[in-house]
Formats: sequence, C-alpha cells, structure tokens
Amino acid sequence: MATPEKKTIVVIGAEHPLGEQMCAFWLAEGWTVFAAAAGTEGMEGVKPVANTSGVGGEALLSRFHESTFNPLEAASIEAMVLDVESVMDHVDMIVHCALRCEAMEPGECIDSHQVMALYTYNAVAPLRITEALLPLMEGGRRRIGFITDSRGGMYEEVDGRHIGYDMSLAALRMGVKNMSNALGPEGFAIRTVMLDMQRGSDLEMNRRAQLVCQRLTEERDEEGEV
Amino acid sequence: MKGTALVTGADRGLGLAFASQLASQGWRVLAGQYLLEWSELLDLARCHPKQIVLLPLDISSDASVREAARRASKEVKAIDLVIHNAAVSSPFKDQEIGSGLNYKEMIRLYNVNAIGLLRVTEAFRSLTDVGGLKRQCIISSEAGSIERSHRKAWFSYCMSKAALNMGVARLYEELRHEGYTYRLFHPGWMKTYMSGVRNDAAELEPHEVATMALHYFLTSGEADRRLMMSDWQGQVWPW
Repeated sequence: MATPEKKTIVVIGAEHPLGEQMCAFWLAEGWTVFAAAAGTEGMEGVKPVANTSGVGGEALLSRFHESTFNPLEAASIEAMVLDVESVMDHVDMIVHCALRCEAMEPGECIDSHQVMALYTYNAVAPLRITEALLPLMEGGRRRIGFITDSRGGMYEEVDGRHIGYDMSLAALRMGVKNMSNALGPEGFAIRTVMLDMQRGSDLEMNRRAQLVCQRLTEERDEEGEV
Repeated sequence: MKGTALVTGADRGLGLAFASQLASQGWRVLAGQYLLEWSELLDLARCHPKQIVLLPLDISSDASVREAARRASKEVKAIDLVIHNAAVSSPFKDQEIGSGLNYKEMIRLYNVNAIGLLRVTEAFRSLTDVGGLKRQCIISSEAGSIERSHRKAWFSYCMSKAALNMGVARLYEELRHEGYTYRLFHPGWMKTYMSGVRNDAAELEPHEVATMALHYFLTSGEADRRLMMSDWQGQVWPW
C-alpha cells in the first residue's frame, strides 16, 4: 500500500494549460508528478512546470518527471508506462485532461475520418492508457480522474458542427461508466469533472486547476462541473 | 404505393423483417444488402419483384454508401422513411478492462454502429429532403443509455451506441427545422445475428419486434415533439 507521505500522480495531457497548472498544484501539495504530454507529430513536450510554478527548488524538481508520447500508438503508450515505472513504484492517481476538439466548417459535409479520429483520441485513448497503467495502481490509492467537456447535453440547442466531438464525449462517458462498474468494487474511485471548455471560464486557470484538483481528490463519487 | 423506405442491414433478422412487412404493406423498399450471398433477402426480393430493390450497402464504407445513394437515385425520386438498422456486435464483448480490451474492435464497432448513421444520413439527403414523410428511424439499444449503464464489459458496443444516440440528438437538432422527424428505438433482446450467428437464447422474434417498431415508426405521437429513446414495450429510456 502507498505510504501517506508519498503520493504519486500521472497527468495525461500535461501540455494543456489546465494540465500544466494541475501539475503545479499537485507538486505544491507534495505529490510526485509524472507529466505525460500527449504529443503527436509536430507537438513539443511539456514545459518544465516546476520552474513556472513560482515555487521552484531542487526538492520540487526531484518530484517532477515528464515525457511525451503518442496516445494513439500502443508502443508509445507502453514506452510511457515504462518511463512511469522507472520513477515510481506505484501510481496513486491518473488524471486525463487531453481532449481534442474539432468542428466542421459551416456547410461542410461530415468527414467520417475526422469523426473517427476524435473518437480514437478522446474516448479510446484514455481507456487504453488507463488499462496500461492499471498494474501500477494496485498498491496505490486507486483514483482515476477524467476532465471532460460539459457540452454534451442531449437536449442542448447547439449547432451540429461539433457532432464528431460530441459523439466522442458521449462514448468517453459511457466507457468511463463501464470502467467504474468494473473497477469500483475493486476499490477504485473514478471521478469525472466537466468543464465548459468551449465558453471558457471567468476563473483564472490556476484557480480553475485548483478547483478541479480538489474535486478529483474529494471522497464522494459523483460527476461534477467546475 | 405507400411510399419509399430505405432499410439498412436488410439481409436478415430485424432488417429483413422490416423489409418484408413494409413490402407487404405496399411500400417500395430499398433493401440495404451487406451479405450478397445471404439467401433470405434474395428470396424475399423474388417474392416482391416490383417493390423490393436490392441495394448493396456497407455502412462502414464511405464509397459503398455513396454508390448506394447513387444507385438509389436511379430507382426512386424520393425516400420517405429511413430505418437505420444495420449494426454489429463483438465476439470480444465480455472482456473487462485490465484483461486486455480489444481496441481494434472498439474502432470497428464505432465505424459501423455510430459513423454508419452519419454516412447514410448525409449521402441520401438529396432523396430524403424531397420525401413526403421525412422520417428517420434508428435502431439503438439500452446499452447506449449512460444513466442506466450497469455493465462491466461490452465497452465497444456500449460506447458505439452511446455515441449513436448523441449523433442522433445532434442530427435531430439540425434537421427537425427542415421538417424531419425521428424515432429512436431499443428493440429488446432478439433472436438475430448481431454476433454473426443467430442467438436462439434471446427472448424476442425479429418479426414480432418489427411489427411493434413499424407501428411506432409510422404513427404520430410524442416522438414528433421531442427526441426520446423508446423500447418495444413503449417504455422511454434515459440518456
């Protein structure tokens, strides 16, 4: 079992501003953080979060690790997991905050390739990554968090330009539900936090990240919107 | 002639039953044919030579769907009713997370069960836009109800059906302003070939469900005013 004084977390999508701030928050809270940047071709790796957090220090940096991987490739996910394993003997929490959103242009026909790409990135990849990391979670606090988009209500009067994105969100929610049904009885706590990613937020990003992090570590097992 | 209907996945099971009953009721039926050698649909078409038009149709393929729409436009001037019936299940559906989920299956099922609807809707717009009834009927499943999700496995199928429901919701929101109406239907557990072989352990015969479904598809009601998923017993399922 994990010792209370050593908490470990893997943040998938650390290249996003929210992911970056969450890494900074958990570092400041004493966690050991593995920042996995879901990079694909042409993307850069995550910035050294510890240096931008304003807290700094060698002790902080020793608890921060990063890598870039392709969430669409099995071999790349495996390599990322090996990287995690090389610096952590267990993982207490995984947080997924890498969503890709694409919309059709007005009048444009539905592109089946785009719809599929959004599904594989937003819905399939988080399951695949979680499954790959599960063995490392056996001795930990067993928490998995998903940051998703609050758009996706079935009755929302939204235009259809995000149909592929919205479908991928629905698929993710279902996948997370089935995962929760399976892993909940084994002591896992699965949390989903919904953000209004399209309309943004009045909160500063670091305050938003703080609220998300607090929601993810709360005890009650519900979806919540920040 | 009552009107013209397009039924995807009409080779066997529920789709075949739809094609058969619609033809018996006087409809012209464009029967989407995926299994070109399967004899049941061929036999049915021989019984209704003027009414049933066989349309090779693989809803997982952009090219196939476009070609089917092209062929359909040579046969009919308009389509009044579309029944999006074609779907697949997975032989790996009982895998749980941690046992090695089959991600290729997740993609295959999504391509058929979720994206198929989008392909067919879009490709046949020129014919459905000028149809009299403008009714789109989708065979979904309780497995796509996120609120009622109870399964520990069935990832591919459940995710594809949840996405299908969302796709229908978005299309509904767009197309209802153009006069389209929708029926989203959970058919229950039927003796069909979803997994590739006929499931004789199931409860319902396809022809029984087709009768109930067609009644729901072709009559006016609350479904004209709002989008909902109803089942063969008239119960409404939460999203």
